[in-house]
Amino acid sequence: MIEVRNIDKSFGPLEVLKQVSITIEDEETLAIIGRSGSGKSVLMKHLMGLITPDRGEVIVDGVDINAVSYGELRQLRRKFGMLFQGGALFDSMSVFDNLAFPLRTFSELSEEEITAKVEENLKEVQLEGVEDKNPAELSGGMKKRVALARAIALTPQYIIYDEPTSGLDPETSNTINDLIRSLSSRSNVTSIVVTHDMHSVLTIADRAAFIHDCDIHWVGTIEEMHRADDPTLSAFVRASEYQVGAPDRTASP
Amino acid sequence: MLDRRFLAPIEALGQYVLLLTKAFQSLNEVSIYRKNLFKQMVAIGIESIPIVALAGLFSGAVLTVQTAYQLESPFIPQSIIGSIVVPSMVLELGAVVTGFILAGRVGARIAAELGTMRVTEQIDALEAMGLNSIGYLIVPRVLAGVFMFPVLYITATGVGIAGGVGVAHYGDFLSAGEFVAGARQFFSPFDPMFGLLKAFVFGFIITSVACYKGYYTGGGAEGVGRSTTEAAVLSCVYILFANLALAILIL
Amino acid sequence: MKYSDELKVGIALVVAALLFILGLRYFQDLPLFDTTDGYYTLMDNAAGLSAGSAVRVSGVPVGAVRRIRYAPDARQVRIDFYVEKSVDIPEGSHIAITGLSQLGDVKMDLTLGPAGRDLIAQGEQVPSQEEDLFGDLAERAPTLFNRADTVLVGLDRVLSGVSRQLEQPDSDLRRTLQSLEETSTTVDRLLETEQQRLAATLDSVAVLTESLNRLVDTGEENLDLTLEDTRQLIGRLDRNLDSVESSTDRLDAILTKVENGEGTLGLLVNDPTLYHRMDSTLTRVNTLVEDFQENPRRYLQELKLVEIF
Repeated sequence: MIEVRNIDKSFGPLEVLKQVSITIEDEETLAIIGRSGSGKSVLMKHLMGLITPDRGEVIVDGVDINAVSYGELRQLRRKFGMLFQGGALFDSMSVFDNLAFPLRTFSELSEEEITAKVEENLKEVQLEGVEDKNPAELSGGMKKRVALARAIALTPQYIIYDEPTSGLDPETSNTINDLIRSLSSRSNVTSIVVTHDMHSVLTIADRAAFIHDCDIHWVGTIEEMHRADDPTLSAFVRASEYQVGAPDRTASP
Repeated sequence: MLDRRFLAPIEALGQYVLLLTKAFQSLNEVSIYRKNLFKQMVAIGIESIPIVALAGLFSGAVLTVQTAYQLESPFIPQSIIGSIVVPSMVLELGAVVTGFILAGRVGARIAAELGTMRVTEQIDALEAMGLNSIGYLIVPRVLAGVFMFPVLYITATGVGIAGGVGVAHYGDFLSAGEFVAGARQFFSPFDPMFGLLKAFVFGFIITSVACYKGYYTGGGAEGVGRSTTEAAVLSCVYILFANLALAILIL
Repeated sequence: MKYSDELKVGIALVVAALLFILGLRYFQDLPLFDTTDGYYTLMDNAAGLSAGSAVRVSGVPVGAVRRIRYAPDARQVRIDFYVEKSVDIPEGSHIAITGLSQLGDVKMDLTLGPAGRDLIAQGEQVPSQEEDLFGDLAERAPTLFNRADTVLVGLDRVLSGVSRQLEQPDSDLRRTLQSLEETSTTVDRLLETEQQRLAATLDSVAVLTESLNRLVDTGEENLDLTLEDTRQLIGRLDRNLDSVESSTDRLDAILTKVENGEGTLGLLVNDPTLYHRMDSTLTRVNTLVEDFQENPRRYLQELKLVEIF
């Protein structure tokens, strides 16, 4: 469980977050939505201590991550897997080395076991035969999938997705959404998806938190969102092309 | 807004010192950077040997020719050329030429590398995995600089002196024997030690400034370009200052 | 074959370290691979000497000065130096600073004691010899140069006066020259006989030196006495140098008089043959002066020898 309590953050004169509080329950899938530049990514980076708040606290499984030592914080971060917006693959390494990197650094596995695990992870994201390529040779969607495979390499408890479908064509977006849904359905996995793609939200999320004006403007389940009479939220949801028609939700959360 | 402009450099200095403090604190986590250290030593050190040797060769040769030109007088023994060229290479040119060339080659490379990693969130990715990004990225680069710069200094100085002897001998200024005799007459074993110290300091300055600039890059591709330029220019400026400071403090 | 990064780095470091150490030894004029022994000596003054200055035995470099520092308790300068292992330093050896600090060419000359004596152990003191004639002469050299310079200028003035007078041809000089020629032949004959006597004298000097050597070997107390004598000798030499100075002054005065046409020399100047001889002499003087300017050190060394005798 992650608790965010009254955090403030500003960069120079620019205020980004003001008194933000939210609780993320275990095993749920929470979507953080809002306009571009509304502070979604900043809030997300607070969750694993990549950004330190000016005021307030972030508590992960009962530990205030900004009060512990750097070593303990790093220990804590291993509970997380993160999919970055651009993939953030290490471009000095091959795809295989990218995927093997967390395993080599943090696990006691032998090189054979690592090879097997990398292949397994690649199969999970429906990619095969790309081990020897460089990240620069991959398409946007493939990069995202490799990055996803790397994020789940250490079987994290929390998976954070930063704009997982942005910049992708609708078909690839759907593939990624399906992957996220299947990963979220695993036991003991909590997912946080930062996005402005309403189709993604409707496909994968249990709950949504809408950020507006440096604050969490609205929080609720997807059903509640459809019924909500908040004008700002409605305007945001309506602006999306996908609000009509019930989303296809075959798998239960 | 005026006070901001005055405070900004001091803030930057603080940020730089804090970064280096964190780097030093990570020094004992050898397993994080061991493999990377050798990779960087090859990239920063071994791969710079040809260009540094070339620069050393030409500075030694030019210094010899110009000294011979300036000292063309029947009252001065020709061997004085050796007495001037060798200490000049050992004390000053070997270290400074190496420093300037590597400020461009190594400084820009490090800043561009780390800057790109920063703006494409690769540094965040390292941190998110629970890795100490400073220990992983900065420590091996700075250590490689400190270890390999003396090697490059020795290369530049050695090749430079050889170039001086070669030009003197085959350019009919004075024989290699006279050159060496002149060099020996005024040789002090302290000089190469001082040159070596300079190389250590310059290596530290170039790599640490470039790491600082690269690690704190912001603003996309343009930011990477800015960091790269600043890293090269600032390392050159700091080398000049450090050179003067060392000369005043130690000589 | 692809080499690992570790290997490449290791090779680079080792090669650089070797290059550094060998270069250091090479420019210090030390054997590149042979080991060395360290000694030290105490002196009142280490003027011009620096770390890296050569240590020579019989003019051959065998080592170098490692370090020079002031030793406050001894109130002297302590000079650490090292020599090749193959050079043994027996008791009775001493070391002295030589060379001209003005030319930056300062070395240490190690004079070995008689073979067969006990060796001075490594790290021990080698006695120094400071009151050496060379150093004294070196200090004095600049004033001597100046004096020679003024004399040469005077000579120049005289010669130009002579040549001016030579242009007026007259008779009297021929006779004078004839007698001069006679005189020189007599001198020649005289010298021939003297030569034999000189050889005899030199022989006896050699005998004297030998017996002196024996004396040194036998009694070290006598040595002190001899040293005292030497000191007095140097004192006298000092006084002699002063009188040389006054002599040159007087020469200067005489030359001035000659220039003004006083005395017989002024009348001596009418024969063209004298002029021709003077001319050729001058040319030779000229080449000598040129040579001197090019290789001042050679003449300085000559000067030293002259001064000792």
